[in-house]
Amino acid sequence: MTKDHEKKEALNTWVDEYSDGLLRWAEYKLGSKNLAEDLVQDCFMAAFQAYDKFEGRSKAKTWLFSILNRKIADYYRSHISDFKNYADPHIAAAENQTAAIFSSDGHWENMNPDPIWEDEKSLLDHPDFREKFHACLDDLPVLWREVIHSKYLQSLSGEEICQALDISTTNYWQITHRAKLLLKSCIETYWK
Amino acid sequence: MLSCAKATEYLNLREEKTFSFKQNMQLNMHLLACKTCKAYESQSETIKKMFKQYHSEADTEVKSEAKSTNQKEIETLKESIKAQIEKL
Repeated sequence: MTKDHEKKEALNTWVDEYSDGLLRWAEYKLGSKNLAEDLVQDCFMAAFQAYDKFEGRSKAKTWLFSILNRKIADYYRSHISDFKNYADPHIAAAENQTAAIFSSDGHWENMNPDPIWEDEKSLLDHPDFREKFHACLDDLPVLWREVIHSKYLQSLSGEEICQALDISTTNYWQITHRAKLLLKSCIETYWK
Repeated sequence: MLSCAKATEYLNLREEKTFSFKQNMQLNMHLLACKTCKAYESQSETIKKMFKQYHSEADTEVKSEAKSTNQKEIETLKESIKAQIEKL
């Protein structure tokens, strides 16, 4: 066990060095400065409690960001459970939308691939890329957005996401699958 | 033979550790025969790249905003965190 005063010393150095970056990241993810400040504080408190597990195996910065990301996921989780409790109507609509992509016998309703995908570069380099992609992400139900966000933006593992958002593995597979299908349809509509 | 609905599900599952050898064979068979699913395979890769790009653009945005962040506010936050640590 590390002595308390040594822990405090290390923590204080990290506070000086990383508060800035952590705060900006949290603010970007949460869209609120006050909330971001709270979570950064929580993050350092958690780092103090878990200090003995750190063991310097990763960089302090990486470790602190992973704690912060967990705090952010926890925050979302507490909000998302509201949606899950009364069966978000948005989810039902999105499920119907994905189901409609295939016919009842499991074939694509539209067998011809959209030519828009042939030129990947023009999709990625589109001057309104950010705005359009953001709009497509916004179209997803909150839970789906958070799942796919965690997977592709935060590179969390399936287990981590299931744990953080309190969903089953099967549910996680379905959500990532359906979210991708919806993004595909959305991109085909918005990029024209 | 897998249906397209199933094959696209498998394409997503393939990213997980639990994807089996048999599933992989079935998926590959389907992809050989179905151009729409084959196209969807590369479309999903493009979507992943879109996430990456969206992320890196967000990063630059965050960095450029750094200049405008109020230094005094950050110092206050740091002091308050240190004070809390001291109490632990």
